[in-house]
Amino acid sequence: MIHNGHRQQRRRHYQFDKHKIEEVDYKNVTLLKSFITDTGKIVPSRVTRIKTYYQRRLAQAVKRARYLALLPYSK
Amino acid sequence: MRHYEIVFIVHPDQADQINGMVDRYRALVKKDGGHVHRFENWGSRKLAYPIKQTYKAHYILLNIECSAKTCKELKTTIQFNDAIIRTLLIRRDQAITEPSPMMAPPLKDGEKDERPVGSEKAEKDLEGLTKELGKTETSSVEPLAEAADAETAAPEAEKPSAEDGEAKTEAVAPKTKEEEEKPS
Repeated sequence: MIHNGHRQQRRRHYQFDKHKIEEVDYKNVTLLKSFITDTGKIVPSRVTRIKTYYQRRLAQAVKRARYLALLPYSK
Repeated sequence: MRHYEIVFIVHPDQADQINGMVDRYRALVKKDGGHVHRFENWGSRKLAYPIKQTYKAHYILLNIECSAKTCKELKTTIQFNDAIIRTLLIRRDQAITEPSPMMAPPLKDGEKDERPVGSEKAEKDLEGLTKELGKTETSSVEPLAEAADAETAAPEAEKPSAEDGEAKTEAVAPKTKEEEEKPS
């Protein structure tokens, strides 16, 4: 079994606090699209390394956008 | 006075009634002494999935300030309007007047997407990871009895994002599970 001795530093994909985004807007489809897979699922935060605070708001925004048919529920 | 944000979707066949509808709602809000802070017509948009057997519809956005009673009245008016196929009503803390991201001009072909991301590398990693995620999901659905299959699937999955430590741990995790199950 290959053992990765030195754990690589976990990179944050998108630093919401760095970019000072106050509100994750459900209308911002271009932003939301980068957090869903090609099948339309929301990417988990363990992959994107987003803080829980933003991940929850992101999920809520995606769900609203789905309701308004701005994003699909599934493909 | 409370602030609300309303988005409603109008059936394309009733698109000519939009102006009349919006004027009526504005009058309703102003009668109560409220304000309309933002009004946007996103026009005809392609829907992500069909609603009422249509694939295109008009989107209207309204940011209003009014009392709770007027909001209720407005909501019932909208609900009983057959032309409107979907509504979303959200309570807000403050008035919003800036144009929404929907009103930003669409990107032309070849124009770089200016949306802020941590880094280009991170964006590429995410693309690799989301593909990786799709692959690991499908491989986990297959029966766990075949350890050989898992071994062939893991190196395949590792290929696209070779530099990413997270992907390796993801690929290694199901493999170790199967290895544990095998001796048992």
